[in-house]
Amino acid sequence: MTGGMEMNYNNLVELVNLTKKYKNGPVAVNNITLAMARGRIIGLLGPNGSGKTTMIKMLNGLLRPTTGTLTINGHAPGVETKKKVSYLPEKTYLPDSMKVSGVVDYFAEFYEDFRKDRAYEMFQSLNIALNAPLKTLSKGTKEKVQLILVMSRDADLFILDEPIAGVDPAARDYIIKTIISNYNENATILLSTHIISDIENILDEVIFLRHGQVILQSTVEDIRINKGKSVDAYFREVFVC
Amino acid sequence: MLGKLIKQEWKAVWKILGGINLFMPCLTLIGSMGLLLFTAVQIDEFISSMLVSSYGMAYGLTVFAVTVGIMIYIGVRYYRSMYGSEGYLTHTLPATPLQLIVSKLIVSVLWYWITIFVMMISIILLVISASAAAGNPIDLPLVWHELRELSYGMRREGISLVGTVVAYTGMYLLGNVFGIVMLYASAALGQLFDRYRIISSVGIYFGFTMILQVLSFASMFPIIFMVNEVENPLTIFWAIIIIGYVAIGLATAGLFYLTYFLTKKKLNLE
Repeated sequence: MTGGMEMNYNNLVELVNLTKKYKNGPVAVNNITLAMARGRIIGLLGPNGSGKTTMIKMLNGLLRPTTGTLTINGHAPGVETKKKVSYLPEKTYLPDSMKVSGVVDYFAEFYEDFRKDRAYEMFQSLNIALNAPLKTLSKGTKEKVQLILVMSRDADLFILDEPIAGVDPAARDYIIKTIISNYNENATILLSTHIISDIENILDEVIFLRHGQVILQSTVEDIRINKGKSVDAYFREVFVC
Repeated sequence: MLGKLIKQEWKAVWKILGGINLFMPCLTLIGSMGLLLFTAVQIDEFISSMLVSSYGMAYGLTVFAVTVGIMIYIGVRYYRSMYGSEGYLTHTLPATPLQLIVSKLIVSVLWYWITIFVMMISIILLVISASAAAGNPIDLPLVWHELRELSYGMRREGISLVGTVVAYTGMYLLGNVFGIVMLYASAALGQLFDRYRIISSVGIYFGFTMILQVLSFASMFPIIFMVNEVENPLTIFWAIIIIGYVAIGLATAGLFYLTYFLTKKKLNLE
């Protein structure tokens, strides 16, 4: 299925004619209309510069659309959606001056759906000391800390921007395991990546983006049955250089 | 939510700003002890005058460094937490842009005022110690008496000493708020650039400062005109206060709105 999807009340996310044009720059997101249902793990796939991060930033209220609308749970991005969206950005964003325990308290303070016990359990399983200052942790460990914080919420929508880029295979496995084990069936996970093979098995749906436009929205099963290929193989075919 | 944001902002800055605030009391303590030591021990006059003038220079530099240092820290902290990579955390909190800016402003202004207060107390204590060391301790009843005389003198001219102090202190404190809001507005404008954002923010801040100086200079002309035209000096006195409050208030409100507008509508995280 390409482009638009029928809008209904079961949809968690709805984008209608969404466009983002940067000043003196390209149209990063070009007239996208799509919907994301509840309880799905969705891969937002596309090469670099296809508009994945721009779309994610708009979903998180970090960028405002040039035209079009987007809603999460029926609300435009704002305080109400931020209460229910758990976002892992591409970059490390935690203040170096804090300790691990400090950021746990910080998340618990601001997000009512944050589960401290879940976070502590994951930190323990990774041998990350709670009293460790963030500035003493490696980049990879900081990324794990961020993922743990984000996945310790009972959010409706998890938006993970390139969660497995730039990490070693063992860490990649841990991240995927964390995503699966902390995901509840009423929540939706939107996961952007261009490393498809490692995450293909956990995806229910994929959205292919190119030049800011949706060129495919389909279930993984449909791709396998109708195209006779894995998502990774089909992605390589569609985005062949 | 605002309370939570203020609490977390306070937790994030208190160690560094508190640390900077320790400089002045420590230097005052060292100076006071040194001065008392000079009175107890016979030291060559040349050496003691060299030490005292070096200390005075160090003290003056510290006052300058603390004031500037606090402002730099407030600006850097605001930029990093709002428009740097930390902004991804800040702007995904379930809070409005207004709550985010106000919480940071309240904490920054409070710390700035604490710094001014600590600085004033330190200087007063140093003056008291220096007077004592010079064998001429400050006579508090005499100071009180002179203040009362001054107050009576001013009242005869129709001016209240307490009212004057309150009016000018209020204007000074409002000026502090304006200074911090100007830093915020510079950062909010600087983040609009695709590259060299921090340098741009600094450049915009100096641009604002220059505009401010030109406007301050221009505002002298009506006052000079009034001095020649107005018979009652009280009119000038109140005109300065009223114009000062209105000008600073409007400028603060304008820059605050600019910061808010850019953060809400034109956020451009790295």
